[in-house]
Amino acid sequence: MTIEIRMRSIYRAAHHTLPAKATRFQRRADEITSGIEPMVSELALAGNHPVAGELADLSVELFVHLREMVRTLNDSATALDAIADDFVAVDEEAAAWFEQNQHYAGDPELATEPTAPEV
Amino acid sequence: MVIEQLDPLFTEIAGYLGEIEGNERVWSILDSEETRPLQEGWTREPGYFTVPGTYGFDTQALYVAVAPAYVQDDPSGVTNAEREQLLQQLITDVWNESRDAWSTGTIETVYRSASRNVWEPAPSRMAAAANDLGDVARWLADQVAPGSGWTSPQNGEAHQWLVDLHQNWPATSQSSQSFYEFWDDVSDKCSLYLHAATRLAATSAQATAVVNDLQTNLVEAATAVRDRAVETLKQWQAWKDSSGAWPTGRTVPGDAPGILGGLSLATGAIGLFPPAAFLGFVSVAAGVGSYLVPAGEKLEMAVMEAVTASDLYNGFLTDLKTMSDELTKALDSLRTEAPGGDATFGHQSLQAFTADVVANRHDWSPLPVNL
Repeated sequence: MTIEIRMRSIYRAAHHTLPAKATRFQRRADEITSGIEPMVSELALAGNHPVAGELADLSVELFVHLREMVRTLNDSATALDAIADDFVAVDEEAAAWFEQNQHYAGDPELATEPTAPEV
Repeated sequence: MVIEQLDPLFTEIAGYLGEIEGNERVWSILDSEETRPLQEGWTREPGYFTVPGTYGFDTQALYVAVAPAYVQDDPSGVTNAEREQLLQQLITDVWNESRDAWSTGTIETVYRSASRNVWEPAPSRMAAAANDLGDVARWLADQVAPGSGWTSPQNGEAHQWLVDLHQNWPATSQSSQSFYEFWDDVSDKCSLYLHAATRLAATSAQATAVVNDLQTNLVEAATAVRDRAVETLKQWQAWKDSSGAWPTGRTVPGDAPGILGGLSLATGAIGLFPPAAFLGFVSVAAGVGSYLVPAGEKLEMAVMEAVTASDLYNGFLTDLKTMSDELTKALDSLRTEAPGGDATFGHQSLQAFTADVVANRHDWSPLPVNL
């Protein structure tokens, strides 16, 4: 096992894999918002029917869980990045590898927070 | 917008109702002319009159005139020919007055207001929204499919990066166990979310279909009422030909379109939007209702029993209110009836399912990660 495999596996997860997964959840959460808002507003025109209320409640629940996925994945990426940085700070081999892989310097680019539906 | 089709129909209907009432008032005048008592020196002469309108006609009726033997004694200086012309003028004025009274825009406003709940929602916007929600369901379905990678690093289906991470986790950090538990649990959570997203998308697609179908039905009904008003005006024309079709021979509703009613999950009239259909899209233009709301139950239109302007007006108003009520009932069905079928939550109505999801929020949350 080389230091390269170790460091690359952690930094890639922190900088690429987890943010990418988080972004996919963020997009779907946003899609819930973009879907439910017009649906509820159109159903409001149908006599303010209470089915819109149930759809809104259900969508908000789903949105909150998907947003929690985004946050957990983002937090995990940040934590992994910090773990790797800590390791670089105490391990000479890791520090040498990091010197050659400066694109992992700095914080991971995290998924943005999805926009909650206003329903 | 469907109102762009409805507005001209409402205007046509109001105009024709005004013409029908005009005919009715003209006949009231002619009837009174034929029945009012005659004083000495007066008689009834046959006159030829024109009833105006889009479906106007000429008719013969008796009018009160000076008897021939008394003409030379009449001090008014008005001839019988002039009396016939005066009656024609009265017919024209009264008829125009009726038509104008129905053409002020008030009737259209009343009809618009009574049918607002049906025509105001935009099914095309709802269809786009349902598609967005369907996208979420389709994506979640991918997350629970084999090979999605949401599994333990020890599992043979784990992606290589996760295996590498597991093998190379630095000893300097806290335990990574909570991360792998979270990761392994994502597909289970996505399975739950898939049920919610499917229900959201399905109900949205069904609501879209219901609104779309009832709007189509509203246009059909308004067209039928317009045609019925024209038919009534033509019956007035036929009557002067002594066909006997009017006023005793009411037409019986035949192939006239009825009101789409009785839409319900329980009766199967509203089909559950099946998960497999998420592969396709909800399209109003392609006729979303053709498979979601198959035939539907048809309610007889009250207006089809009417022949007078007043009855036609009130009958259509009743029909519009019925359509609005049927929309409410159909949406009630989507909310309170269980869709059934083999779906995991098929035994629960949307109302019950949503309440369960809210009550079990903790169980639906992703597992916490402590690194």
